[in-house]
Amino acid sequence: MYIYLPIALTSVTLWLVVGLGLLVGLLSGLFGVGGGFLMTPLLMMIGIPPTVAAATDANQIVAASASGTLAHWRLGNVDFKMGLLLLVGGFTGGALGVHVIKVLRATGGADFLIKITYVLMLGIVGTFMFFESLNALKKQKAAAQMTDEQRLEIERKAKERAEAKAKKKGFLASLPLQMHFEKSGVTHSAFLPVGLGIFVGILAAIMGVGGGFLMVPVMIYMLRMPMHVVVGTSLFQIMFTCVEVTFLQAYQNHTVDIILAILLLLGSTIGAQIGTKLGKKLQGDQLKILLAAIVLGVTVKMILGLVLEPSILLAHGGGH
Amino acid sequence: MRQKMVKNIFFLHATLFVCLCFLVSMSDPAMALTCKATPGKIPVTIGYHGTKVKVEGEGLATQDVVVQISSKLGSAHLKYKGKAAGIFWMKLGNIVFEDVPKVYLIYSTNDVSKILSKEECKEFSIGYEALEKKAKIETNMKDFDRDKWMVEFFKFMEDENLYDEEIGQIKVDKKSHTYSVEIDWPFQAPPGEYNVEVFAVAGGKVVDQASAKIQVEQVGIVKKLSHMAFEKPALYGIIALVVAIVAGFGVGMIFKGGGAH
Repeated sequence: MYIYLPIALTSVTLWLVVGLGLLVGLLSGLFGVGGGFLMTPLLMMIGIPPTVAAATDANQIVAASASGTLAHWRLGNVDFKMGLLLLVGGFTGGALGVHVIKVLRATGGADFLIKITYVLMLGIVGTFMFFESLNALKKQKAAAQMTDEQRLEIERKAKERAEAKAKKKGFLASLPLQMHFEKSGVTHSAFLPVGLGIFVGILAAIMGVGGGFLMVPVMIYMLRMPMHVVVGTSLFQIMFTCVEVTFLQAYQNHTVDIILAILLLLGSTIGAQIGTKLGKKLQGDQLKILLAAIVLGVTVKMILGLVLEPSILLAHGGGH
Repeated sequence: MRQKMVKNIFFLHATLFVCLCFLVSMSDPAMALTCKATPGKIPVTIGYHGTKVKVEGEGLATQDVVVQISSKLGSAHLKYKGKAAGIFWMKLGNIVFEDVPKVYLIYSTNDVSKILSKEECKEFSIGYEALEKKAKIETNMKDFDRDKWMVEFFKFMEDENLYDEEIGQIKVDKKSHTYSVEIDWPFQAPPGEYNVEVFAVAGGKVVDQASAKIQVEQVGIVKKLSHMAFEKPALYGIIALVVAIVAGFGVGMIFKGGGAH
């Protein structure tokens, strides 16, 4: 069954698009990522123009993240306080990033910067998460074979290391507006999440994505939030970012295809719910290692796309 | 009286000449090549996935025929790819092809370059070579090679299903002097008016020609949504967001209702 898309000006197979939505929604619910870094290239592969693919993707992420946020909120996995501070930073960073791209487009260096940022960020984040999670899983296995005395000794050493780290954290602890985030069980200055939000916002705008796959590692490794709260809070933050992007794309560029978005969200909203439930059954480290493998897979595909000569040397403008 | 008689004789001769011309045109089909495209109007509905278009006609006095379908000439704004830093293949800059059709489909009984001279192709704008000669290219590329980038342009447009060159699909009936070809109209062809031109070819020259039009237009919900997206973008954006949020929360509610938690 075919559906004609009035803005993309192309025809697509209904079940293929719904299936893509389901797959990306599943990842969204599992990992708290919007899936933009996967969906936009997939849509381009089935013949959607790059500008329409990116804008419509943002629209469907609104649905998937709304569905995922609701599911995680019911499970008590959304830290609204942290999410709002990250959002303030994300909006500011996004505006700064858009300006950086404008300047670079004028000088002609934008495409190179976008590609290299993509490969480097995906590669670094993916490799780091993969090995970190692998080590954690190995430690868990080893811990299961230990005696109680050995376990106590390791716990004592870990406590000492954490205390030493906390003392070293002097600068961050000395920042004003320190506040406790109950849901995440951490204490930080409000400047930290706002600052990190700005950093991710800039990168997300340069790369043209929602930034979920960058925000998730930032929450885990820099804000030290527990994995399940990270996923819910990330989805909450992504929902607002994509609301802004969708409206601006529809208003300024006329590139949101509502029919395509409806087909995608039919799959993605259901996928997000299934992903959330599946996520509950998997351990945090298993989730991280799965996400790392996907991120690394996309990185390898991008590197191959960069080094192998394309069969056609012309392309539409926009997209990556 | 004599003047009146001369007038009547002249009128009689003129009438006979018109009748003779009509009878000759009826008896010799080679005199008037016709062209008809069915359907002449292609409605783009929500279930549209391209369609079959039949181009046919009578009065073909030659063995070879060329059917050419094209849109109005315009410009294609594209990006060219090349190596950056000597290693990475990526989009390096802009390239604009001017005076090229958005859609160009050509069908012929034999290879166009074998049945038509270069001069005739150029005069009647038939074939890729004629398009190449007419096209202008604007780019900031260093060491620009026009021939190479025109070949890339044709490759790109064929990949997009907007250009096609087919030999041998046209059916010619020598007895009835008719021809017909069935075309898979690409769904990628945008709404607009398309020219269908038919050329009867003999001895390397175009000896007769005919034309028709095909109109592709959006109808129903496709037309309404497209109109709203461009004419009322704020409302369109808000509707897109409301649909997404309601769908997201709606599915969330349904899953809760299912008691899966």
